[in-house]
Amino acid sequence: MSTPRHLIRRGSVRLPCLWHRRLRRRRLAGDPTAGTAVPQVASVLLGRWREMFAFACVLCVIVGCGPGKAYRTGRRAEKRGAAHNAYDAYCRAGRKHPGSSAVASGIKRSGPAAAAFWEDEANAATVEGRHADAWRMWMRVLDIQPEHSIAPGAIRRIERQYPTAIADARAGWLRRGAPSLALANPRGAKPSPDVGVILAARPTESSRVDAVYWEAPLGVAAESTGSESETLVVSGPESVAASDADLGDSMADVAGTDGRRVPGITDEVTTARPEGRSTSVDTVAATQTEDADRAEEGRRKVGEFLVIRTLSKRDHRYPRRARIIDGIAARLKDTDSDLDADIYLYAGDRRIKKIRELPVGQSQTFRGRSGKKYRLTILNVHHKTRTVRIGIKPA
Amino acid sequence: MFEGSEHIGRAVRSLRGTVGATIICLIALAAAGGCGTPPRGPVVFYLDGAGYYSSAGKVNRGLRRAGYTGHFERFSWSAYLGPAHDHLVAAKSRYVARRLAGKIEKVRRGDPDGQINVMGLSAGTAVILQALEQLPTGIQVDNVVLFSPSVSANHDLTKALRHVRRTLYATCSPNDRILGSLIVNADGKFGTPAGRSGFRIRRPGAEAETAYRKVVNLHWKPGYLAYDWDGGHTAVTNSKFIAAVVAPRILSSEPYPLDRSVSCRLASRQTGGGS
Repeated sequence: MSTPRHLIRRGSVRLPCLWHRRLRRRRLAGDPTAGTAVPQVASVLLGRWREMFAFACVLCVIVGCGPGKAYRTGRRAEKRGAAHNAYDAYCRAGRKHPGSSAVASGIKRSGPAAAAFWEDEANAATVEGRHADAWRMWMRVLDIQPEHSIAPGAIRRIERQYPTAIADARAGWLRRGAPSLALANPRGAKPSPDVGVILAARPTESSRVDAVYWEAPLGVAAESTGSESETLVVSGPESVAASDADLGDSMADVAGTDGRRVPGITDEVTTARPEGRSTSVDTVAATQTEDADRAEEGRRKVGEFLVIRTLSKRDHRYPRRARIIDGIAARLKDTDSDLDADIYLYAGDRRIKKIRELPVGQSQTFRGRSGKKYRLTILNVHHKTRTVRIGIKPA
Repeated sequence: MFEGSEHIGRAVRSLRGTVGATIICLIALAAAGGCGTPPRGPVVFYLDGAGYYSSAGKVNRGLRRAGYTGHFERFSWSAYLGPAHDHLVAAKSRYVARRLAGKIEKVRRGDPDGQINVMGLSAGTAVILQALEQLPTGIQVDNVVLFSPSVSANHDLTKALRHVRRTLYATCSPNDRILGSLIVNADGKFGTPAGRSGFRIRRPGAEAETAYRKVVNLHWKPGYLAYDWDGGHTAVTNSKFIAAVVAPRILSSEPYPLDRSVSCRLASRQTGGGS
């Protein structure tokens, strides 16, 4: 006996499974309770597969099943011909979407070109006698192409011939791993909008953006002494990816070896010139002067702080409470999306001051244990990670 | 009837002759074909994972692609009773570990200067570590490569490292979902598997730090997507990854520039340097 057509829902999928056959048999036998619960729901869902498919497509478009913004940045950089930037962006996308074949092929495509770029830069740095930079660049080459035939030999040669010149770079590598290699900057590098910008530590409007802060690690951080001031790097996330190869390594590790002025970065600031090497000499000189002035200004402004500390509620690289100066400790209570922070000050276990909703760039005074007066300024707030950077100077 | 029994007797006699000849042939083959002499020159011992018996070919191909010309031997340790049995029982078997240790010892005694590398995947790494611990004093292998080790990250390696001349590499990835779902590790210990976080020094001290200078955790990074390792448990044995990342490290006689040992990382953390 064949199944009556009216018993099969139009457009439904005929399931070869047992429950479906039983259901049909029971329906034919006139059982009114047949086809309840699960079989019915499944049948309805399967019957509407077109609608469900359309819904899934819409969901994909809205939520985004693609490899994301970093991937698109990489594509743009690749089209521009900046393979090393593209590689970095793809790596950042790869961290979020390790299973994406588009990202994998992007990395495969841009990897050799990025390695070739850094190889050229390394050769140029060697010729110019910048051995630490050359060493870092060769390490980047090897990081991108572990099977590179020349890089290991070149690295060993530099290590043998110029051990003192690369001592700092090597120490940085041993301490922080791949992020330390990000200090190797290409010739005439001018940070593009994608890559990021170098800014002074002074709180400015631009520092209020939700940027990623590269800063000195805690514990060795940021106590500028005398004329030696600190240069801080505020950068876009683009250039992070290739460098933070180790999962445990953090962007914070990219800045100065010991939290003080970073020669590589400062050099870059002072010698930075626009992209495209056909720029006239006058323009380059003018830009260099401007950049040098800006850097000098930045240094002077940073130098006014005795101590700079970073506190965080969510970023576990930083403590929530830290000693700041003259026996006083600061504890971060919270931050706000308006980029202000609540901070409590303690003398030992005793709370001496509550600082409420202090915005970036504003300051409040307090007295140290010795009775000396200090001024606490909010330098940056990163609300997403509930992180705040404070600077202390004499009032 | 009489004729029939005569036929049977003749058949039995001829069969006996055939069996005898076969046994003699087998003995001759064994003597000539080398169950006696261990291989000389570079040797790689490879141990597959629990219930996964097809990674040896890929690893072998990867090494060959990178220019390895030595001997590659797949050491079978599985009981072939499924992955659960391999992981929970066979990987902890002292007998299996002793068998591997015996093989290594034999090769080392036969060729004291030859390069011996031991590699393993997942639960096979537990067998390797146990075998290294069982090696007699003075017997060492050159390099050990543990792919996605399913032993505890706090597994004390100091005893095993006495039998490693150069480096012990361990790949690890937070994207390894198989290791993420483990309740107990292949070495019988609880806690995060080394294949997810890398090996850690359990009790820092001078001796441990000296020993762990030989331990290098190869953390997954997005750049490895170019070599077909997406951080997955078994994808680490892809021949491309082996050829590009593993082979340069173990085939060169000099230390690989990018290697940072566990002790280095610990020292940097103690000095507040970062990672």
